[in-house]
Amino acid sequence: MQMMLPGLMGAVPLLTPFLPGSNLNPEDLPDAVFREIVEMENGDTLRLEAGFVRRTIGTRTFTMYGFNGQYPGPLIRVAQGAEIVVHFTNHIDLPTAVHWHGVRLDNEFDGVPGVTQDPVQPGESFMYRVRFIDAGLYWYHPHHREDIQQDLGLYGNIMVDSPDPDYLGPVNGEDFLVLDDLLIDDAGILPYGLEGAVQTLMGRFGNQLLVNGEPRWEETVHRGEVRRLYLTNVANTRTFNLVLEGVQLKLLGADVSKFERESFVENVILAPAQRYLVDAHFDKPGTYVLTNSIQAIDHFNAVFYPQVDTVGVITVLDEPVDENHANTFEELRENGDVIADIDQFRSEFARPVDHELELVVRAVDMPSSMLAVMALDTLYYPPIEWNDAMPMMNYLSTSRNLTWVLRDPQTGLENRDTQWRFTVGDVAKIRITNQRRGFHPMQHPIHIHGQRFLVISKDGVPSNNLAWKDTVVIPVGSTFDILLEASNPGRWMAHCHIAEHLEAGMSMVFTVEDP
Amino acid sequence: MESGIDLSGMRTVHIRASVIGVVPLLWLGVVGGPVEEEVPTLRMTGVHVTCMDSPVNLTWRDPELVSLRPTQRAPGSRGSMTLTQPISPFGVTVNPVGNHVYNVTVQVDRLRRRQGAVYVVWAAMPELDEYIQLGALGESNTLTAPLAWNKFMVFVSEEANVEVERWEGPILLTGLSPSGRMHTMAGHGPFEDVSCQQYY
Repeated sequence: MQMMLPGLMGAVPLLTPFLPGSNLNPEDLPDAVFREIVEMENGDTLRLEAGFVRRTIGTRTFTMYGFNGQYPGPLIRVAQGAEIVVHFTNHIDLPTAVHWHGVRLDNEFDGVPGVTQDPVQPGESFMYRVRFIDAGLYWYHPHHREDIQQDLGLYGNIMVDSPDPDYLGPVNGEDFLVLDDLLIDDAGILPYGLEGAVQTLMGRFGNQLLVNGEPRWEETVHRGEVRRLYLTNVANTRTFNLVLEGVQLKLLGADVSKFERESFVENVILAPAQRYLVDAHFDKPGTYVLTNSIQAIDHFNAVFYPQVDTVGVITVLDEPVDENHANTFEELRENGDVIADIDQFRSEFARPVDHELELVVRAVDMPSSMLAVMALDTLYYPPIEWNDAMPMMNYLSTSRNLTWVLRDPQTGLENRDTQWRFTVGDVAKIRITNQRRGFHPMQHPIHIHGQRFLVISKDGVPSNNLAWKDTVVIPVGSTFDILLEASNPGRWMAHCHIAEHLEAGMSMVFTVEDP
Repeated sequence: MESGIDLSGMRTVHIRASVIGVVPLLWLGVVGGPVEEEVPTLRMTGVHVTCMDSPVNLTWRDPELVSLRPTQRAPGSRGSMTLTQPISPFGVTVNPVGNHVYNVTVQVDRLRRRQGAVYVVWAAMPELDEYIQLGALGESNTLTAPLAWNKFMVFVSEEANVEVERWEGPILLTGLSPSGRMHTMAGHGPFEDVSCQQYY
C-alpha cells in the first residue's frame, strides 16, 4: 500500500542534508583497522586523533570517522588511581571535543564545548588530563554534534582495573562488546542535518546493528569457559535487550561499580551510554547466538511483533578448558566493599527530595497534520521504544521544530536555565519523572557528568541491589529517585543521552562548589 | 540487517505512506493539535471519521490503569486493572523475548458473590490463541499476579473451583491492557467502520 499524505506531501526536514566526507574519495582514505588495546601507566601520554577513515561493513564501504584510524577507538586500559595525558587532535571537518563518560575527572577536562572548554576546531589540538578514581568500564566520545560524530564511529572504551586481584571472580577470557547501529540505504549512510539534528523525535535508529563496528561478533571458546563480557551501548538512541540463549549469565556490575550482590540474569537491557559487566558460562559445546530480542511495534495494526536480530555467534569447542571456573561461577558473591561504600549513604535514602526533574517534549513548529496523527497515538506509549515505528515522522522532526525538556517543577526553569548548586560533600535526592503527558513521550537515558549516583527507587519501590551509576534510563511514565553524591567540583552537564534529544535541548548545567 | 525500518522516501521529496502513522490523515482533512500544550486533543473539521463521532474522549489518561467493564452477567459491578513493574537491576523489566514484565493487580468492586463460587482472573492474547489463569480473587476481591505480555485482555469468570484449566463459568468483567489503547489505523477509514470506542 502506498499513499500520499496531502498535509505532508513534499515535506522534508527543514535542515540542509549533511554527510561528512561526501566530497572525499573513499579510495583516498585509510582503511579503518580493528581497535587496539592500549595499556597505559600512570603519567603516560596517549596521542588521540579523530579523522576520516574508510570503513567496510559487510560488503559495503563507507566514509566514516575513527579515533586513530580504528573501529571502535583504542581500548584504553589503566589501573585504578592512574592519571594519563591525552593529546587530542581534530582532523575531522567539524568542531569537536572528547568527553570521558562516567569518569570523575577534573572539570576542565570533561570535554563539553560551551561548558568546560571551547570546541576543538578542525586542525587544532587539546590536551586532556584524565584521572581514574573508580574501577569500572567507561567510554569516550565527542560531546559536540555527537548525533553525527559518535554515530560515524568516534567512540572507544576505557577499562579501569582494580588493584585488588579478587575484585571480580576468575574467568578464562574477556570480550569488550560495543553495541551500536547505523542507518543506511542503497545509497549509503543517510544524511544528517547540517544546522541541527534530524530525527529528534525518537532519535536516529539505525537499521544495521553493529558489535565492535561489525555486523556480527564472533568468538570461539572451549567447553567450560567462563568469559567476562564488558558491554557498552554507544548507539544514538537504541536500547538493546541482549540475549545469549542457552548460556547462563551472571550480572556483576554497572556503570561505575559492581552491584552489591551478583545475580543470574536471562537478558541484559542497555540504554544508550550504559555499561554492564556480565560473566557467561559456556558449559556445553555447540553454537550460541547473541541476539537483540525485542517486541517491536506495528502502529498500523496496533500490535507488537517479535524482532530478533543476531549480533554475535559463539562457538564452543568440545575440547575442555584448561582451568575450570564453573564452581566459582555458580557462586553469587556479595561485594562487601560496595556495600560498605553505599552504607555511608544509606541513611540519606529517606531524606526529602532536594530537586525534581520532569522530562517532557514540546513541539515548536511541527506540521499540524503530524501532531494530529501523533495525538491519536497519545493514548498509549510503551515504557521503552525499542524500534523506530514511525520513521518518516521521526525523520521530519528536527532540533528546530521540537524541544526536549528537562524541567525543574520547583522553579519552572528548563534546560540550561536551571540553576542547581551543590557543595562538595553534599548528598542530594533527585526525583526524575518521565511525564506520560505530551504528544510523544519516550524513555530517556539521563547521564550526569562528573559525579556518581545510586538509583534508590523506581515508582516508589526501593531498589534491592545497588550499584553506582552515571546513566539511568527512565521509562515512559516512571518516576525514579536517585541519590547524587556531589564529590567533584565544577560546572557539569546533565542530559539525555539520546544524541538527538541532547541536540534538541535536553540538557542542563549544575555547579558543585568547593566547600 | 535489522528489519524494522522502512527507509523509503527518506531521500525523496515525497512522503510515502507506508509509514503507518500518517494514513489517517487522508480522512482527517484539516486537523490541528495544540503545539505547546502537554495534553493533546483533537479538533476535527468537516470530515467524517468514525472515532471522532464516538463519545470517547481522546485525551490523555493514565496508561497503567484501565477499567474492567461488567458484562450483562454482573450488572453494577466494576473493576480496575493496574500494571506495575517489578524492580530490576536494569531499571526496566523485560524478559528475553522483549515483553515487559508486569505485576497485574485486579480490583473488583460491587461483586455479588455467589456462595461456593470462586472468581477467577484470566489473561488472554487479543486473538484468544493464548490464555493463562492469573488466580482467584481474594476475600477483598483483589488479585496481583505477574504477567509478561505486552497486549492482552483480562477478564473475570465465575467458577465452581479454581482448578479449571479454561473458563467454564460466566464472564463477569472484561478489560484490555493499556497497550490496547494503541490506536489501530486499520480500524478506520476504508478498512473497517469500527468505532474506536471498542478499544476502551
